[in-house]
Amino acid sequence: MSGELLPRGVEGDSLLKVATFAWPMPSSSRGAERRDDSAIERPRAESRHAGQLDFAVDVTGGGCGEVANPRVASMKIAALPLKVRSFVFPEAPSFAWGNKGSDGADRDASANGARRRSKLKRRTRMKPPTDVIKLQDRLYYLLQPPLESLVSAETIRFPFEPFPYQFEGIAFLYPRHAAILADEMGLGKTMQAISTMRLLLHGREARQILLICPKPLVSNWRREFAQWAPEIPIGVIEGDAAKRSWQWRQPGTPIKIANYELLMRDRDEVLAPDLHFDLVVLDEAQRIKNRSGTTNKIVTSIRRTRSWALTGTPVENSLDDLVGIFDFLSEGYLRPGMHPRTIAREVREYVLRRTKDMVLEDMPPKLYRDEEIDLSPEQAETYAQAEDSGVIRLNELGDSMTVQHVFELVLRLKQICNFDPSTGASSKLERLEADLAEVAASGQKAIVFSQWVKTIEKLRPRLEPFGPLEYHGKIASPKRDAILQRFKEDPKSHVLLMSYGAGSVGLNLQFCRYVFLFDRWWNPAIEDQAINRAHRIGAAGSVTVTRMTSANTIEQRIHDVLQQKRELFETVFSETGAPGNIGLTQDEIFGLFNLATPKGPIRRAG
Amino acid sequence: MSSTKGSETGIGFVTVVKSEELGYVGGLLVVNPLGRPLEFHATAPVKPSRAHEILYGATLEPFLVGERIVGALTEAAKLPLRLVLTDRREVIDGAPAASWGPVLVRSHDDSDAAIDSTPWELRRAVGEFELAARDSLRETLAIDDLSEPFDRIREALDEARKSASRPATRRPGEAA
Repeated sequence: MSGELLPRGVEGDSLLKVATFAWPMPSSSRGAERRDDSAIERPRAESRHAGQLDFAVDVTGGGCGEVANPRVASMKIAALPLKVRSFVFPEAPSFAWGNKGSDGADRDASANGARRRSKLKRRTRMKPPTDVIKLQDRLYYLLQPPLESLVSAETIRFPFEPFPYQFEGIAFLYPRHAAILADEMGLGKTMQAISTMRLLLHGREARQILLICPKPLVSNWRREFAQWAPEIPIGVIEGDAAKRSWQWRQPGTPIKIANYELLMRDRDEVLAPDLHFDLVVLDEAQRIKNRSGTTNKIVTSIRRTRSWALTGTPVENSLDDLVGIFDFLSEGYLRPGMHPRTIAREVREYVLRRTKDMVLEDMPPKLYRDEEIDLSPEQAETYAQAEDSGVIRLNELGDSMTVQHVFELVLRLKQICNFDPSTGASSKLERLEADLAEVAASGQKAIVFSQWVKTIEKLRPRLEPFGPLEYHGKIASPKRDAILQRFKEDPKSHVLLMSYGAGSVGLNLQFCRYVFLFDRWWNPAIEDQAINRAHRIGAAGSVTVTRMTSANTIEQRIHDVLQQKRELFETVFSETGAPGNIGLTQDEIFGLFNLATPKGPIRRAG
Repeated sequence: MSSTKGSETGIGFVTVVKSEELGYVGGLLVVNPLGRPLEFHATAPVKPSRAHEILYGATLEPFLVGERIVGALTEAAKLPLRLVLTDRREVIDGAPAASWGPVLVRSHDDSDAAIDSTPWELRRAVGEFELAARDSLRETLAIDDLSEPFDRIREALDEARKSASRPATRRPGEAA
């Protein structure tokens, strides 16, 4: 249908030519410029999407009526095709637990948000991981509002506002089915994990979560849940077998906390075919680094949808530790012996590692003092005899020598570095007494770490003036919290004597400004964990770490080897931010004494 | 994914992205009062021809953006839209007299965004209405920065564009 500009009846060749065009007809009244073309008779469009408008113009410039039929050239301007693709997302109730229904919570949150509006400059948004393939799922994560808005709108209350990097940690964990949060100790992995679990539960994306942690940390997790997710019911799996069996199947507790040790006993319960968890979180996940260990076998067999691992030290001794942890995330994804750079590339998507230096600009500094202390004359004499006779004995063993033989000698020498066994002389202790006198005089508190409980017991009598308290494996678990409380509150208690094993993880002692490593652990990762009991969020000021090493002894050799390895791994993992903490291999332990392994000679380190 | 059952109405954020290569792509994000996504609708790219450009002239963008694209997007919405916000003036200029009365959101500086008008003509006609609408909207919607959801839409449109060409990768969590 066209609007004719020409008189009817004109036929044949003509000087007047008309072209006819058609295009979509707007459905609503347009501007004046389109209403003015009333000279053209326009068709009524059936719909604004399908309508066509025909248009005729005189293309010859002519207009005389009596000449001839004009030639008409017609062209349709096609309607612009328009396809819409739609995605519908679940509307999560804002409060699955609590006093209010979701609608009420929404309204309250809106009103509170209106009252509490602030100019938020930072936006932390979720990014879909690369292994989320479906566009609908990717858009679901991508279209979520910034996490900061949850705090701003008081949708979910936090005891205090998380740091920006903690929001990033939550945004990292939330969309992932497989993840390792490997932040340095003290950055709040616990809080980030709890907050993300909380969001998943509120969003109905998870209903049953299992958290597995070392037994001494169960009470710590319980406290942290009370602080960061007070509305979420949690259940600690404990008690006799019948009670535990009932607890494993309690649907009313969306979060269950179990300890690694207990998994052995409850193996049949936790691996029952009808028990499934939406998420299983492993705290201190380095516990499953041994791929052939029972713990690894059990946790990797738990039926689950999501798998998260929390650890400050995913690599303690070798890259195979990481392979063990990935067995939990996805068995076979990493293999022993893979090239470090290949591993770095493969794990990049699944590992988030931040250090304090990276994220906390206002974190108080951590100052290291390496004290190289000469052995006392008595210690030096005993040490020399022990080393000489020990090395001779090892050489005599020949091919039957094992790393265990070398290990025994190392331990014996390290003990002599602490105390002369016959006289009790200790130049380290003398230095420690002097240092602690300064600490106590300034009203500060210190933690002293040792590898051995026996050493701690020997230290205590000499440190009585400083009100020493002990925290180690011999102290019953129910008494430990009271000891920490007393250490915090008693102004006369200036020093806490801790073993690395009992005090290296999960404790918050940020009121301490001084840390002494009376002897050195094999693995700097463990030392870092110990140091970070004090140097963590909330630290009142700088933390001074004194690393005591006996000069010209096995301690110094170990220190040198570990330092070299730390530098090497920091280089390898710089791309992913994975930690560079690593222990000694068997060859390196042999190398401490310039010994040949049964497989052949090796170079002496240091 | 479950349905959006539970919300009676939604608040829409709509924008249109123009590129030389693809033409115009529109996206509508429907959120709840907390800003969480309920629906997302996106058009396939629409590229007007040279003939369209010549014949429509200055009316092309208001027509294409405000009427065709935004009209199709809002028609696709499953939930009734209580309000639609946009950062494109063409939406206001080209919008039909729809029940969802578009509100223009414009950034005044890098750190804040504010509502300029509700709708554009009303802002020009009655200054007081603007103030009342702003207060009312802020009681309705717990979003601090009203320009923020448009960034989400733009990212989502970009994601949709890229998704077709993204190679599949292995998913560790699936093997558990």
